[in-house]
Amino acid sequence: MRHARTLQLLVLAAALATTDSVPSAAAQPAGADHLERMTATVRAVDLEHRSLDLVTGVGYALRIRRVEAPAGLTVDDRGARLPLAAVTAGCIVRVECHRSAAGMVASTLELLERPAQAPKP
Amino acid sequence: MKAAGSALIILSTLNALGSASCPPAAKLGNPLPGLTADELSRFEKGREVFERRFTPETGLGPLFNADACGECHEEPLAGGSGDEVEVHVGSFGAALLAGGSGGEVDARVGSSGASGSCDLLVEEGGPVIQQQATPALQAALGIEREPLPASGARAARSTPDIFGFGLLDAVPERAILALADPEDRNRDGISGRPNRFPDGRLGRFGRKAFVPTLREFNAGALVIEQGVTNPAVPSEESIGGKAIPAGVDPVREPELSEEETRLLDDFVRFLAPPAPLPLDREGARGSVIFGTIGCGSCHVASLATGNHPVAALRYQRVEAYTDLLLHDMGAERADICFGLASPSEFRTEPLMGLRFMTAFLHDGKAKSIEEAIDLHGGEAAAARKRFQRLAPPARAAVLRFLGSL
Repeated sequence: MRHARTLQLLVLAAALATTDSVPSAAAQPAGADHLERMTATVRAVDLEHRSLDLVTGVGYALRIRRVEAPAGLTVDDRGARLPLAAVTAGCIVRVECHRSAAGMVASTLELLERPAQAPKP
Repeated sequence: MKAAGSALIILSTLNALGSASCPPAAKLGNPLPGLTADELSRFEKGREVFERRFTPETGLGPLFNADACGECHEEPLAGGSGDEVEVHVGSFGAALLAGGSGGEVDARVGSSGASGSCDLLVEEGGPVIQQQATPALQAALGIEREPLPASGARAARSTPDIFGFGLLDAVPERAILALADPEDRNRDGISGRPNRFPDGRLGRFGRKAFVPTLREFNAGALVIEQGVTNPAVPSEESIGGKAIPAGVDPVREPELSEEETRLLDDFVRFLAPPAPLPLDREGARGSVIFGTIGCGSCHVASLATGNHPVAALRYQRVEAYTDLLLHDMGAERADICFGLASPSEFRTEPLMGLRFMTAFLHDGKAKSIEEAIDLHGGEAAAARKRFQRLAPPARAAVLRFLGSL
């Protein structure tokens, strides 16, 4: 269990590995097309309005980013295509999105990890 | 943790015998030995940013805790500890539910909720409460500090020293994870759990090991402690979740340039760890007892850095006496959650520089090293009891050793 958890963390860390730069609390611009990519914990999912509130930030300077998930956008879970309802609070997701008049709109949504086991109070 | 404990005893003994494998010791507050001329120059320029007193006209606030990094990290000199105690908040057990049939966002079941999730109250202003406001904000809203959230737990956080943190930053993740034993599979009563940032990366900085890197900790601290935005955090903290009124923040974001943010980071990164005092016979005995009674199961004597672009940080040993992991300190010490850390879990506090501290533990409640030991509970209770059962000369030896760090 310990080794499996450690391996899981290492794999996730490798997937999330960053270089010298600090991720911005406003997420990383990903090119001139105004695409942004961010990896964050899901704080809440609104299935009716198809939006996600994501916790992101730098250090203790945390921010909530709301991202719209357009109809038809599926969740990529290691290659499997799942509905938005597969994402719940506590999941770690990677989102690629662009700005629109209504806010941030996701173009891809990848489920990296489901919520960790809750610690004991 | 047995292997770690054995390693500790060996390392402690080597330390007591004056092992020559460490890099030459630097005077407190000095840069790491072996920096290049350019790195030394950046260290000195960064010290100026660290000690710079910001004003509202240069970016301070509108909410803040201090007007300079060096206002809190000041004893006995820049980078040291301080007597300021912050207020942090969080809500443990708040279940953040998915939309559900009503499409309701952020429904909560309260502090008794079974999900065990941790809400850092980001929408209410975040986990760090700013206790000062600029005159313009005071005039606009009639507040002297950030309002506390209506719900959630509160915690006191003392100001630690930050000497040697660049070395902690350079410890490879695999080295930290190798010390973890979250299920306590070896049945030694010591677990050690990694914390994670919201993006999933391993955390190591902060009293709950929440922040992955020193650079991010520094960039975030500029904003949450001083209200100084920078390219990594280009937006101010909210005021209890509400937007800052127009006209109270005269400086355009970001308020600190990328270069000056990096200089500040280099100053902190290049601060050398305090060299332990030479141990006499009693202190050497105490270092061995420290290991044998189990303190070293969490306060792992030495960590090694990995490959690093800065030669002075590359493949170094740092006698930090921490494993950078979370441990249960007992219900009496519990305050707030932070990421995966439950209210009673804290990162093993590094002990380097302990002799310069005047208040101990995460909340500064203990006024002596011995009192701090007495307040250890949870996973540390067994080691604490072994310490308390020691004969007075042995107990004095342990305290002598700790007083040398």
